[in-house]
Amino acid sequence: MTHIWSMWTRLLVCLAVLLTTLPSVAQDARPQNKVAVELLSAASAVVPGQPFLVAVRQRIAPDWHTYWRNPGDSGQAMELEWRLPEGFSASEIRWPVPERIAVGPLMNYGYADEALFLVEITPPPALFADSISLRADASWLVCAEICIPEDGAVALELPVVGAGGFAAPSADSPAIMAAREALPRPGPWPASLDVSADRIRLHVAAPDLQAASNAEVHFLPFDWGVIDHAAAQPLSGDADGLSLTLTRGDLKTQTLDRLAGLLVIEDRRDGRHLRQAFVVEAAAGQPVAAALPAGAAAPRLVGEGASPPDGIGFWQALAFAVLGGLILNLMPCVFPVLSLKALALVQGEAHSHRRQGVAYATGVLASFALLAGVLVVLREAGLAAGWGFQFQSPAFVLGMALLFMALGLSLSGVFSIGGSAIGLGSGLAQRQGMSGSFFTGVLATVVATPCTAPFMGAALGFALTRPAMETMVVLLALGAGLAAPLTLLSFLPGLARLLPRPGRWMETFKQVMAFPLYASAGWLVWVLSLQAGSEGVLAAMAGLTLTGLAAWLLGRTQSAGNRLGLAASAATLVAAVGLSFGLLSTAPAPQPAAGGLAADDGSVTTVAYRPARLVELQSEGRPVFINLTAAWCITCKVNEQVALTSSRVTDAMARKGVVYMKGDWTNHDADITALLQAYGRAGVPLYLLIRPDDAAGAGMVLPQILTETILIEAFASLPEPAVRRSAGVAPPGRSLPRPGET
Amino acid sequence: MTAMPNRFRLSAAIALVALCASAAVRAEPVVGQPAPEFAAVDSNGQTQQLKAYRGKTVVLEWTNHDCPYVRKHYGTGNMQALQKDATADGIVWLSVISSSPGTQGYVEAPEANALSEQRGAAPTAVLLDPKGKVGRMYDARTTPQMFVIDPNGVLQYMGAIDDKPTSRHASVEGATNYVRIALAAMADGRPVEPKVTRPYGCSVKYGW
Repeated sequence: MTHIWSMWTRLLVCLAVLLTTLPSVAQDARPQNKVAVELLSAASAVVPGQPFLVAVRQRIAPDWHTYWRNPGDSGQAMELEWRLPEGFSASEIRWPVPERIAVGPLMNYGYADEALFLVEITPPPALFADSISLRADASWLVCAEICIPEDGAVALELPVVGAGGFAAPSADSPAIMAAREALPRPGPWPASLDVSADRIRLHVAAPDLQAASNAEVHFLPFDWGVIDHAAAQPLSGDADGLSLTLTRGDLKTQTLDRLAGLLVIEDRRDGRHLRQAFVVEAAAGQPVAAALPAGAAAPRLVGEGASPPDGIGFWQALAFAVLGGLILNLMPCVFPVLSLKALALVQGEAHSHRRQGVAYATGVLASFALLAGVLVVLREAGLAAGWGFQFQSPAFVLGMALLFMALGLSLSGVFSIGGSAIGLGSGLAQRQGMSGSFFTGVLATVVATPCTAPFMGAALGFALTRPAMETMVVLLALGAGLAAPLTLLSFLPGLARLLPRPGRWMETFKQVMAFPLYASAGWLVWVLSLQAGSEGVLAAMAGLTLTGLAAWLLGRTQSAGNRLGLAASAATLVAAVGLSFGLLSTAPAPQPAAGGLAADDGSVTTVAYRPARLVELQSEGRPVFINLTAAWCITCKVNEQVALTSSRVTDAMARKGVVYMKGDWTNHDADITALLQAYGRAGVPLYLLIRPDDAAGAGMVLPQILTETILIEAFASLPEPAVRRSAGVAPPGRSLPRPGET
Repeated sequence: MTAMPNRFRLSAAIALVALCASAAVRAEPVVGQPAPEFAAVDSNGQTQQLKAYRGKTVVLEWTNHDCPYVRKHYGTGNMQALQKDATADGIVWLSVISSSPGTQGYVEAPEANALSEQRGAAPTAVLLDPKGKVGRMYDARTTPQMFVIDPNGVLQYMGAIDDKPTSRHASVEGATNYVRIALAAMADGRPVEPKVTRPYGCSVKYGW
């Protein structure tokens, strides 16, 4: 009985499952589109005769992409076939800036995640319907590893208001307007071409852009066949500006006299990604436009461009790290442990060697991973606390100089780090077998870390300035270098014969290794001199001397075991840090260039940003335009070129009596950081228009990507100077005395 | 014994780097210049070489049987008709499959022959190029992509098969077939026009 019931139950369950899955199977038989399209309108109603913007929004499945007007080496751009009511017309698609998508050796230009394709719809001057319906048939190609041509119909119903009426912006209007702002605009720089049989040299006269060394610049042509899309586009700079060398494409046998496309400038510093794109049209043989107006070349700031290139490159750091790890094996704090272990290995059995070698390597790598994790956490905490781990920051450079000095002194034998740690771990390491090897690995790391090889200092400094993943990889490479010799030995025990005996040579080697560290500290002091001038050097010297004193005291304490000495050395170290950083903060920040408005003929008052001065100007009834910028911020530089060099902009500023305040954040000025934080920003650029009656933190924030129009419209919204109540207002054309002048 | 592994490893590393570098370099076929010489194994195990066909017109057709654009031409019988017409005139038609193993379009020899039979295709031979050597030599980027080489080995046309860059089957009707134009021009002794067009289709699935 029970048996039959359970059989029936089973049958019923099967049937139930089948019935519920069948419909979904039928549904799944028709594959879902990878791209969902819909039609959005910026206006909530149609006004006869008044053009308005609509957007086709593509929502693309993760890992898939659609294409730009020039899809690149393969692919197909979206096509729209409009079915519009009588009298309506639609413009061409206004293509958003695409990404470069590499597919093996091929290059495509397209979009991922989401893209808004703007189209301007023009209604006829007279409409007699209450509402109209806009329809389009869209077809596109969407690809990941394979390609799927898809299509979809989009439609939108809109009410019609009377001629001359008003249509409010729709709920989608902000997104559409933002997309319109992000459309590429004509570039401000004259461009010229140099065409040869195989190459095109595109020259952009933009002298201000070379200081930003971290930018990526690419040219994306509108038409196929002009360039080889996948080829590298080496960027070079000269006094006039930038040049991109493009490789010619399939149409190279045809003469080329015109090149049109997008110049895309990407700034990927500090983990953010700012992208600006400009339409560039160049004709071959056109001479580069005459020199920019006099005074256009921004005077080089003290410290501008003087920072070391953002650490060493990643691959060099990796190489240094592995090399450093290998050298660590020879240090006297590591070598004896290893040679003992090596001897034990040689005496043991063959197959357990290899496992022990692997266990050792695992121990080392695990410890380095932990160290990297700690560093990353500290760095994130520090970043959250507003520290910038940048070589641009004089405080960071000073800190690194003091650290290198201390490490060098430890290698010279003035004091020792981690002496007690060796004893702690050796009990664990003496255990036989795999766990013993694992702990030897951990031990080697613990004693190696403070006993830093000179290479490690650079790798550490580098690691602090880089994102977490790179830090992890570099430190693991260091671990790999450290683990390699013993692991190698475990696989080839015969090599143990080649091992030198521990001896006095190790101590000499260690002391010699101190000198590269001193040299690095010296170089950092040089960098500091560029950033903070002679006061910076004084601060560094004071700090280094006191660090030396602290080290000596500590060394004496260690040999004598004197409690008092320990306190004294700690106090000296604190004094070292305090005095040097204190002196550093009194070093005057480099004055920003008095200009910055390249078209400035003196009609616009220009001052450096100071909070007190801002309050003063507001009380005088002057509106203030604040430009927060930095020498290493390419977006800032591009904006300055695009928007702030225009005479129309300076005229608009002069007309309204706007004061131009420039805040240079190249060296992370505290006042500017405070202003950035007041507006909830972490970095530059930031453009503010502060009206006289604006409360603190309530100024008008302008977009991070500036155009002339944005600025002119913003200034146009200001009241005329005659309306301002307070005295001391300079009529347009005369500037107020500059700070420091009587 | 301990020294040799190191040297061996070093030379292996150099060879690997060289191989990768060479794979990354793309050749550039130029219309009006001699077409790149290649040697590849076809679906019947024969080695095919371009120079063996000196004295005959050669058409190269890059293909990937699952690509929607290729399916348009084979599904409508367009490609097969073109192949039959060309081979009837003594033209050598070589279909090339440059998909790397595991990617769309990759087939082994038996499957390649089965596909040709199923679809009624009539190429002279189907070249199997899983490492993408021939593809990179010709800078083949899409499937389909066509190259027409004259009896002297000079490249006369490269690019799309026709002027309808869509995968809609209906577009084959009334499309201007650039390959037919090129072959007709060459037969008449006229210059080929157009010489270069934008190839359309799925990307060729090269390996890394």
